[in-house]
Amino acid sequence: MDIQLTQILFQIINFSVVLGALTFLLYKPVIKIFDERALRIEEGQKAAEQAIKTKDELDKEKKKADNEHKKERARIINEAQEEAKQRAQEIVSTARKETKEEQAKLLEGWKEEKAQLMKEAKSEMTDAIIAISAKVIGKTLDTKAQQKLIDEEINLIIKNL
Amino acid sequence: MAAGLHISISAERLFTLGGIDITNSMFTSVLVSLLLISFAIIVKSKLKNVSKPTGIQNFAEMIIESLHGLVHGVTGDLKRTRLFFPFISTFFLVIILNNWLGLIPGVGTIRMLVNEEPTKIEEASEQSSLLVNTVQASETIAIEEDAVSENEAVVTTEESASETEEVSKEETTGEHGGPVAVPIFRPGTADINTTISLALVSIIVTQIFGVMYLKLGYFKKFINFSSPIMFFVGILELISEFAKVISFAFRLFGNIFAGEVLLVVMAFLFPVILPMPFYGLELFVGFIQALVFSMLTLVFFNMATISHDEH
Repeated sequence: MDIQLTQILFQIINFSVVLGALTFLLYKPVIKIFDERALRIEEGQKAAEQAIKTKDELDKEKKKADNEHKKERARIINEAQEEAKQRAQEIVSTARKETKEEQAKLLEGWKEEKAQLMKEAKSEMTDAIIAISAKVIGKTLDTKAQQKLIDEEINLIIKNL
Repeated sequence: MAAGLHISISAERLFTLGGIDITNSMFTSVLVSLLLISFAIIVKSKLKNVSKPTGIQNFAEMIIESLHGLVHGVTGDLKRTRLFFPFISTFFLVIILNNWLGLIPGVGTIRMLVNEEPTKIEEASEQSSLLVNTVQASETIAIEEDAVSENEAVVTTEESASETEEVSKEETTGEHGGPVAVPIFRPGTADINTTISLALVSIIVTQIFGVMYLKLGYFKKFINFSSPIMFFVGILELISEFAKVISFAFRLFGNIFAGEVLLVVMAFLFPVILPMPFYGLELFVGFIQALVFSMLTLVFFNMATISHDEH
């Protein structure tokens, strides 16, 4: 086992050369890539955190808006319902009123018609009775007297009806 | 069988370059360095800033991220991590590659003929024949058990010992001190010079980092006149710095060289299945030793940058 200074120096120089070469060709570039990658990952994480924050905020806003919309919707529905109810009431009352008016009109028309019919019936009956009476008693009364007598009789009949 | 057994405790000279003897461990260390640098160049050329890296970039990122995490786990401070990381990871990669390179078939067995100095030839032949004889003797013991008579066994032992000596001499020195067959590759960490140099780098850089962080206050650790006990502790600290070099160097060298010897011997005894568990063991030892060296260096770096008041 011989220890030689020249060999030791040679090996030290050899190691130094390898150290220098590896440092500049391998370690520095690769570590630079590691650093850049770490930075990129850090930025990505930050961006992700920011995105999560923004998403949370948006979610909150969305919830808030949803709630507002719900309230608005409920308010609109309520209003619509109330309005509808009111309208329905109005329509119903108008209809009732109209119905009543119509009924009244119809009743009046019916009364008039009845009166008219009665009048016509009365006149026809009078004529018939006159004709019958004339035939029966053979005596012709003057028209006015006949008419008066018949009316009295008819009124009596109507009353009895 | 004896032709496969070559064990030398020191690295062997392959050729001389500019007056410097280039040993097989230096050659392998340079090869490992070139491999690492080539890997770095390939990774740099294919590096893309993407979220999902693939292929070689993924592999490089996996190694670097693991080592970076390991360093950061100890320092707990990004500034210190970035300062220590290149040293720690280079120590780890260089040591683990050197350790594992010794396990590749061909390393230690592919040889070239080299003209050795006579003194070295004698040393090498002595070492080789000594080791070969030891192993051969153990083999012969196994043969003895099957032998019919004791006398026949003794004769076999003597014959085989003389045969082995001849073979090992032919193998290492040639016939008349001629060229020697030397392995071209030898793991760098199986050479004490490499481990000493790595230990020296580790300890010198520790001192530099200590001065960088604590300025001149760093030396208070070694020279402290506040009390006789502290003065004595300072001397012990100073001695421990030198002891660290020795401990670093010999731990790594011892483990890896012992592993190499173990594998060679196991392969020599029974080359087919027997070495397999030992290969697994050596893979583990290679990893553990690289980790131990790197972690200890990291702890020393960290301790050197923290003042005594903080301790």
